[in-house]
Amino acid sequence: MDIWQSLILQPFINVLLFIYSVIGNFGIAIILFTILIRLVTHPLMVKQIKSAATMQEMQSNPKWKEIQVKYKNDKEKLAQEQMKIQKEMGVNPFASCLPLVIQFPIIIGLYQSLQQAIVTTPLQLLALSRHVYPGFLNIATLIPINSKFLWMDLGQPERLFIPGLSFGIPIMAIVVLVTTWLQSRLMQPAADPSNSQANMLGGMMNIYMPLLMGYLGLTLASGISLYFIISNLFGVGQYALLGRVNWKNVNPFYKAPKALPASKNAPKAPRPAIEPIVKSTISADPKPALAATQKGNGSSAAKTKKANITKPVKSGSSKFK
Amino acid sequence: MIQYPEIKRQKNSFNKEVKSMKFPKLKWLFVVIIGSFLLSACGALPMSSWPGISVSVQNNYIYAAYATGVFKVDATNGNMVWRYPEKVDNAKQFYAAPASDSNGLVVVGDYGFSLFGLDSETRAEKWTNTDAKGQWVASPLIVNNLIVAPSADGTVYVISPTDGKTVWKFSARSPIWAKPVSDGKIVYISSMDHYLYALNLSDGSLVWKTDLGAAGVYGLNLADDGNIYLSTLGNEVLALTANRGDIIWRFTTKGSPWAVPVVKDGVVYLGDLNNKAYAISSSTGKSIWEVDVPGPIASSPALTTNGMIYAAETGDVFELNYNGKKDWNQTINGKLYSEPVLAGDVVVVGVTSGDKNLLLVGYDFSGKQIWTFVVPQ
Repeated sequence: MDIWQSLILQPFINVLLFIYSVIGNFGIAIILFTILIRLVTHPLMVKQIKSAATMQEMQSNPKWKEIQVKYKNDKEKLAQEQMKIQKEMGVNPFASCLPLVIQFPIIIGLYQSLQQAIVTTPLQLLALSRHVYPGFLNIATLIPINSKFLWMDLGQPERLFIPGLSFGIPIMAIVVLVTTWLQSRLMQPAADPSNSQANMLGGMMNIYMPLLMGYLGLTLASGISLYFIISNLFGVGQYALLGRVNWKNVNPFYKAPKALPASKNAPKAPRPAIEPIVKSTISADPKPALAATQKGNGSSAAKTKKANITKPVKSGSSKFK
Repeated sequence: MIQYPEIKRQKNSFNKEVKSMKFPKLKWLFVVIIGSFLLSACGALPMSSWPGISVSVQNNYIYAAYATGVFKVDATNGNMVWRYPEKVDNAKQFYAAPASDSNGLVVVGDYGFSLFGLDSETRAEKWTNTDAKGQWVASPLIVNNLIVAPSADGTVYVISPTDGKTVWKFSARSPIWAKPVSDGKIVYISSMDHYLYALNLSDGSLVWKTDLGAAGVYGLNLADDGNIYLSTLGNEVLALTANRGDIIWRFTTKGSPWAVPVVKDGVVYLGDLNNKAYAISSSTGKSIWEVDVPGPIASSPALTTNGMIYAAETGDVFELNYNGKKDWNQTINGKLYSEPVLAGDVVVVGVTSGDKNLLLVGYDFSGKQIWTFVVPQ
């Protein structure tokens, strides 16, 4: 048995089956297990969001943008300058990656444990029977797992058959598609008119990811679709609790600004989903502001240099006034 | 202070550069995202199992159901006679051992809930029954001009072999994966709901049912002594009377016994996943001998005059004589879960995840390999 199975998969399967043995409903067990795992990884997610916000704010800093233009033909110098700014601002570029790296195997483990617990063939049952801890759970009483939940068989792709219709409606696949779209839209920061590449990437993600997830929901066992839906909704809930949800992204009547304003009187872009953490300045010498930020708002050093800090610039607004 | 027109000019230049390079980058990014997602998803995704193998009534052909094909193979030389469907259709996945009769009918169910009646000579579809709402894991039984086909939807469908119409059906509370047995009047079915059911073959009425204490997953054996022998997921082998369903004895195995016990001369034989093979007295349920074997056993042995030919998960094919002593041992590059079957003087072993699409291997009774069958691509 390999490390992945021993450390991730097997414990996950046993916890899931334990919840099922207590609750007696596999659909509820999937929901509770998904929420449990997401709660366990919640602190990591918070750290990731905060680190990502710091990075985003740093990249909105005029000095950062300035060096992009200034050293566009000298990648080495650009990298040096970028590192210098990161150091000045106390930003670790890997800080947002680490929580993600830790979360990733947990989420994959969650997904695989669900797949392996929903047995529909003898080979899968054989594998499952080997994953169960003998002293912890009794496979003889656990099997058969009641895979019926609402109108679904959690081991089969779902279709809702309505009298009068000759075909089944894939309700779960539709809900997976909608919740994935909702999640990606709500978590997406407001469009930054100065970053067309990021906007395009975000736009494509909003189209392709829900379609891909919807397709998986259409073809995979409905227990997996249930997991996708709960995971999506829980993710939105987590972002909402942290105040990071951008409701404007799902408002059909809201129009994002298209281009950079030509004058100072141009309207400002909407507030981003992710609050700026580092305040930036337009000063030709940003060091005082950066130093103040590094030392914290409450420090005396910060107060003495406060005069040098101009009005905070929110990401998404014009930085080139 | 940087002046705005200068910044604007620099920014336009920068945007041009970004525009010129963004499409390849985006393409690669999406390939990586989607590729990694699909890779993570395919870890345990495919619904698969081991090959289902049976022998024709005349003992001269092998029918093997595995993945997208059902194969009719000559048992003497391993040559393929036909495959069904002729062209691979990924919507049709077959793992239940086909059943055949002397009238030229081959019955096989797929994981897409359809049961097909095929012409054994031409592989032409005679009929299709789509009444089931679950996949066909169990092999059907053909008895008294009726097809008894249990489905994973928990229902036993009894079907006419002439037109494929359902004659009657009986619903258990959980999926049925075990092949039924019958004496021609009563049909015996074990379900994952822990019950063994005895039904009248003529109309499906319940004769009796017995709680086994655990799921009966692997089938049962109606022996010549009039008793039923089966193993359950509760690590037990049970003997029951066929007329009333009373439990005669229970025998606890060390590992999970994933096979139908076989009976010969008053002795019950089977192996388990804990690398053990057992001989149990059919009258008392007491152990006669217990030996270590080369790997986990997930299938019944094939009985020959010399001994029992077992297939182990590790790829070992070996013969134990009736005293538990090993006569010979061969190794196949693949996993062995399917029950070895006898076709005349050949014992045929089905291979799961076989090397280079190896599906069947034929041995003589001395352990010499006679032929192999590789799934044609």
